[in-house]
Amino acid sequence: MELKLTPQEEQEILETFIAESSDKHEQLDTFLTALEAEPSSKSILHDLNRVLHTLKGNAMSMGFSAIGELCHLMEEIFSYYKKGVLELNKDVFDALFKSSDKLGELIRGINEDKRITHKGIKTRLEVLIRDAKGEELVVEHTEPTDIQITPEVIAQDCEYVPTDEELVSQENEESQEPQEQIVQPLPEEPKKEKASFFVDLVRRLSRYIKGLFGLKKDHNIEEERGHSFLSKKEERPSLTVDNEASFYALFEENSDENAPPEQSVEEAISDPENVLIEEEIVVENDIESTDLLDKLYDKVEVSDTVQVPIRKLDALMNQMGQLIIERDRLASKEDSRAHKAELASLHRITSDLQYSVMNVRLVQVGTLFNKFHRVVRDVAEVEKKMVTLQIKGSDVEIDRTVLKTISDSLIHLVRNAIGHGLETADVRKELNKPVTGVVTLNAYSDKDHVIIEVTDDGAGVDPEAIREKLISKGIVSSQQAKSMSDDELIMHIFHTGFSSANQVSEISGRGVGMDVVKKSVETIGGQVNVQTKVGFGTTIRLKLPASLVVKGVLMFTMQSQEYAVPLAYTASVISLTKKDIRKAGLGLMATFLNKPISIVFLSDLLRMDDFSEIYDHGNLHRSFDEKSNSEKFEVVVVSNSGREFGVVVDKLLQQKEVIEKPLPYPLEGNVLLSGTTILGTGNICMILDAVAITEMLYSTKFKVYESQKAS
Amino acid sequence: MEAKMQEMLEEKERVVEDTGEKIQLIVFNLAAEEYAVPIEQVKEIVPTPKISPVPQTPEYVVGIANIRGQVLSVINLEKKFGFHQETHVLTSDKRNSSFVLVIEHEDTSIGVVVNQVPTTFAVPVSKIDSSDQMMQHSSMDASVIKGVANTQGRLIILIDILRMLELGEIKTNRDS
Repeated sequence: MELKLTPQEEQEILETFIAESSDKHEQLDTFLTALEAEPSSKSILHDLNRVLHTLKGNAMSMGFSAIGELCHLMEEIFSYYKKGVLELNKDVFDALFKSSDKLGELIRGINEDKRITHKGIKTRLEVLIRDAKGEELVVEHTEPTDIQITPEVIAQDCEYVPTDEELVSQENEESQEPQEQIVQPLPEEPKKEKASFFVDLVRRLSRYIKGLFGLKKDHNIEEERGHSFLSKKEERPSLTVDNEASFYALFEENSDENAPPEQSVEEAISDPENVLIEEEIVVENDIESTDLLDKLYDKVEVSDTVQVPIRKLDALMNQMGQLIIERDRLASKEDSRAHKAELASLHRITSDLQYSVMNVRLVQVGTLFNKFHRVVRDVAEVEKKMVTLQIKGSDVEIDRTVLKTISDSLIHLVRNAIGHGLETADVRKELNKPVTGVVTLNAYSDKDHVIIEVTDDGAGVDPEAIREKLISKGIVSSQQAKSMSDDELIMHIFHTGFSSANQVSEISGRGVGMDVVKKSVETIGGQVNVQTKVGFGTTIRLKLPASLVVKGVLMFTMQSQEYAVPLAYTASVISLTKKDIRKAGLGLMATFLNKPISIVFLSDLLRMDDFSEIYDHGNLHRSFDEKSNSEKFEVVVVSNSGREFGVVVDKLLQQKEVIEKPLPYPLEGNVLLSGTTILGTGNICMILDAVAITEMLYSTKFKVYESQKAS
Repeated sequence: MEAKMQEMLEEKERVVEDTGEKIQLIVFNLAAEEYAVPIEQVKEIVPTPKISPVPQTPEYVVGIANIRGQVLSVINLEKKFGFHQETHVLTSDKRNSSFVLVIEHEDTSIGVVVNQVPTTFAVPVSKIDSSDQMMQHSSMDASVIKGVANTQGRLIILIDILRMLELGEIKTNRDS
């Protein structure tokens, strides 16, 4: 039974490991935050230990000793806390949170080929433990000295199995340094001995078990790693030794001359301190080895869920898209009437399949929201503000790619809400507000969209402050600023280079700005809106597509070429006559729902070599001037983040669900189009980039104002 | 298509009686000259499909086309190289007389429109003059021209479209 893994299998195992570990790390953060709020909770402590334990087991079996070490030290802190010799004060929590961060870094670092050192935080934890230990010794006076030595002796005497060098060096900065090598016993550091003792123990146990299966004794590490992983690491405790004799045989198996006295082995194992709080490794004397064998079979139970790398889902989604195009092509063939019934069932099946594929990609927003307990805690700490986080709608489902795309934006919005939105406790007291501010993350479904809101009950955004800022930064002239409505002013927080904070703080003044938030939301076809009331707080609302598999578009033709605009950006379709439209500065204006909106003839945009030509006077008037007075125009009202404008098209077609493909090389940079799709007829339909056109029209708006002034 | 081409090539090879290393070319006309690309770079040759012009792109990008379910850009090398003679307008009636060479390089594919049926031609390496010995073409990067095959009374210019892709010679961004 040779267990050899292909590089691909290894990669998949590694991917699974990373995915599981990230998951566990996320839980760790959540529980840590919870424990900080409620340090006396036994159940949280239990959960924490469980998570740490699993994480440690997984990491150890994969050879990522640094992760294992940190987990182990954290476990130890909690064990001392349980014993009552260590107090979980702010300092300790700080260290624990830092450790958790480092764990996250280490896990991410596996794939990024980054060298991450964990020595600093490790030492900090060790100091905490040493202090606690000193106290413990004073209290108990019971620890016999020989037990301190025992594991060390064992570890030194037992065969040393090198960890996978490649993996170790990937995650550890100085893998040659003794601190980084858990398997090398260090007499000065008791914890280390225990760890190495434990690792050796587990190795020998696994070898023993392989022996039962008739595996080769001189296994290579790869084999071991694969084996122990495949059999699910959570079951490391499953390597329970049920038979005393066979257990001792383990120790004898590979130890050469200086085998430790049996007595000390026994002590080493029976003393919980030395078996590294691995309570699960229990020595049960009264069970026969046949039971051990039986139990082994129980341990290879196959999980009911499958972890699928996202790239496989992406591939599935692409194939799904091709299938739908092919289906539409068949349906639009001339002889399709003869096969109407067959096509109908094909249509139904593919649609069902499409929804299934979409469904598989959905994840609950809670998976992201839950990470924010930690984010809020950290930001509140830095900003010296008191904050509670409320989470609503955790069970709303959204495409995983959408969630990933907005995760950074959401962090920024929450930082902003705490940093800029919420007032300090003193100010809040003066204002008769509750001292603790509330930041709410809320998600809910709205037809084909998911709305995610970040709300704070802070000071709100003052349009007057923005007005002043715009003028002082020279973004608009004071005259233009005066003519702007509050909503228009507030939309300027998304303007590149605009920051309304008076001073740059450690948290808010760094990383992505509001303009980046807006852009990243728009890349996936979403929109951003702001609602704010001075003194009562701000809500930033992200309107996101629930699924990225298909995109609803409104199709139309221009000069017999099919074009489309995403329904996500389509407010309505209206019909205008020439006299409804007036020239205004560089552009055209009309009234829509009693509001003036810009009108642009798409033919004028298509005619241009690039967007800079819109600044030339008359370029946006050309089609308008060519039309006769009686002509009616079909106008698509495009709406993006509260900005609306009308696009005059030649002829409207229908709404359609399409699979958008990016523009082919070398046209990726085209600013007017966001992508293409192949229609059932085989024709290509080009999808307009509504966002880019909005930006363009609104950036010139100032020029429009200016030219109005000039005229 | 590829199999067919291979067949044609083998046939050709039997005809040309020249020993020594040969390279196989796809030869096509641009303006009045014969140009060629190595056969390995050509994924397929298809009759020109319907090409949709793309707004706000340089003149030499004819547009985009659906070639076997894949959307590709189609470029016109005559325009790219700046030959100012009358080029063939790819209206539907003329479409049938022109072809698109699909050039594939790693993840990137691009179509090159040519006016007549491209032919295959095997040329001994010894008959190719490398580009540095020849007169530099006015508007082409020297590295894009690999050499000139001078054989059987024909003068065939070897161009390296992959090199053009690598150099970013084919670009759209007028704004950059």
